[in-house]
Amino acid sequence: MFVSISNNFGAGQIQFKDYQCDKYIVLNAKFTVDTGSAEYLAASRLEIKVPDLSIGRSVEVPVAIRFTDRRTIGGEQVNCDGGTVLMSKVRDKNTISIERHPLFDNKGVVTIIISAMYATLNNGNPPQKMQRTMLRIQQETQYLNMTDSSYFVADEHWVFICLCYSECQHAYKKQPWEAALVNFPTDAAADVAFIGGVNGYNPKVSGMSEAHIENGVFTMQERMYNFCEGYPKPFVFAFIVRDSQ
Amino acid sequence: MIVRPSIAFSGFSGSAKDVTARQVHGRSILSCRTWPTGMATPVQLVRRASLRQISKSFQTLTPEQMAAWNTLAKGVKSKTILGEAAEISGMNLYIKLNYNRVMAGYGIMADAPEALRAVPSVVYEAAWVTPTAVIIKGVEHEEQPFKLVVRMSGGQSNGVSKGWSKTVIISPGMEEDWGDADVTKLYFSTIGVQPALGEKVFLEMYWLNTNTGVTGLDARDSITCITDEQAAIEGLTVRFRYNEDDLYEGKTSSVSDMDLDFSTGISAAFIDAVCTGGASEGYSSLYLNTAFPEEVRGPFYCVGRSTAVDGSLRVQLCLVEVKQSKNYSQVAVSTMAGNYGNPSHVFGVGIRYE
Repeated sequence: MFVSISNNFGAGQIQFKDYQCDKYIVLNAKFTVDTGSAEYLAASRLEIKVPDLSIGRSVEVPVAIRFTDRRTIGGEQVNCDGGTVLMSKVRDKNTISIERHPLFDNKGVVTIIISAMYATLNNGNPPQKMQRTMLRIQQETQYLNMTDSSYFVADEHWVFICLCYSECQHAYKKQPWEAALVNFPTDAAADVAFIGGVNGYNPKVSGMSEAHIENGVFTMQERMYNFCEGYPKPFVFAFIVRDSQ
Repeated sequence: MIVRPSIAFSGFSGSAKDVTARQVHGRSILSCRTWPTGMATPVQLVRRASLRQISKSFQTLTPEQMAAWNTLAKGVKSKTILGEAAEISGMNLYIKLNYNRVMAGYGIMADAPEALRAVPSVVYEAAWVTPTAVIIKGVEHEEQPFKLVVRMSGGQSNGVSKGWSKTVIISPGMEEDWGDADVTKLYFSTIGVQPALGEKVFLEMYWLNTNTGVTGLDARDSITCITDEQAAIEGLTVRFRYNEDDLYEGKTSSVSDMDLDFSTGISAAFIDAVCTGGASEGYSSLYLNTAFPEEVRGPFYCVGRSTAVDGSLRVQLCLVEVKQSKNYSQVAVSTMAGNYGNPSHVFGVGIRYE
């Protein structure tokens, strides 16, 4: 765990959960950015100054950006939240750099969710593979299903989760969700972006919702209006640092 | 060429035939005009044309700009001549720095830089020359604006101990690639012939500050050409990375600008590619002649983002499959979830699994 030293986009101190080694780092963080602030609009990239990292640079990896858009349609509150992924990299030992995309300028306060592995290249070792575990969810009333593209890979220090929504019983579509992730490590906790759902009110981006994973349990309080409809379905793609590493 | 003058020439200045005498701070310096020997290569012709162009452009500067170059030149020493550091004129400094920049693909700078900061020296681990590869390994990274200039000679007899005067620019300014400076293609296209086994190749490298045109001290090495097998034994490791250099023409590819790299040192692969969709919108493929070794085959997931002309940034989950068929190798990218957008920029790190 560490906190940022400063940033160039007017946000406060940012807290990171981390695993670091000489070949890569895994970071989890969630923070808000005012996209109308003078600092944000003056920055060519969003740069976060941090204490010494174990790597001096990395490849570009995706981090999620989400804006809130709630509308009243036909007398009903509709969640039209949207977002996308931005390119992010470790620029140097003390700088985490995130693309600033003009599409989000003056979009109000947005949330950036980092659940990423920042890797380095040319490390010499022959390519390796890991064992994946298919993800099964368990509920008292089994109202939720994930597709067979859902799985996780557990390292000693982090977990990678790929979770793809399949279907939900109609009565539960607008309810908070909770499901146990069978055999998922209980020491991996993070807020993650749940990306997808055709966003007719913000057609240039994807629908974007948020979920939380903790103690082997997946929870999701709300989701954007089209989350459960259409194809392809929403997904989670996240690296989560394990607490007991 | 500069020669030590006889005492009889003391105090002379002016030119006679191919000899020019000049006085610099009480010293007499004689210069012999030199002429290019042999036929100029196309690269040499381009460089001479650049020099002429840069030289002429100095005359188009404003008096203030010229004065700034002259002021900057006062603090700069040129190479030592006969043991003493020589001074350099504003015009010569302008030509020298701009030539370095133009060779690296940058434009001529009219305004003199405010100051000429020190340029780091090149630090690297090893250089290898084989009949199929010319590569410098373990180059310590330098941030922008520095770029690496590589000069090399053709293959020389192994008995030659000083061949750096035979070097030519192989790369006028490259970014090292995660510690590698792989100049194989540049070497073969510039020198024209592969070095033979046992021949010696001379190498010079230095960093160029692309903002100012200033170069650092050169690192020099001489490398004997050895077989690929010998290089592997001595530590030259294969980096498993692929792009579309060796396209299989028998099928239509719908993945471009691909950089697929398995050298993370862990179970992750890195991909950066543009997918335009094939017969099916959410399915793109790249077909290569290059055979994929067993170690790199298999699937991983990653994320893609649309890059459509309307500026949309919809996100999709992609399954990347690295496969080998009888006639070609294939990188297949399928949309598995999210919102497909065409074209899509697929990028990031994915975990490879059994």
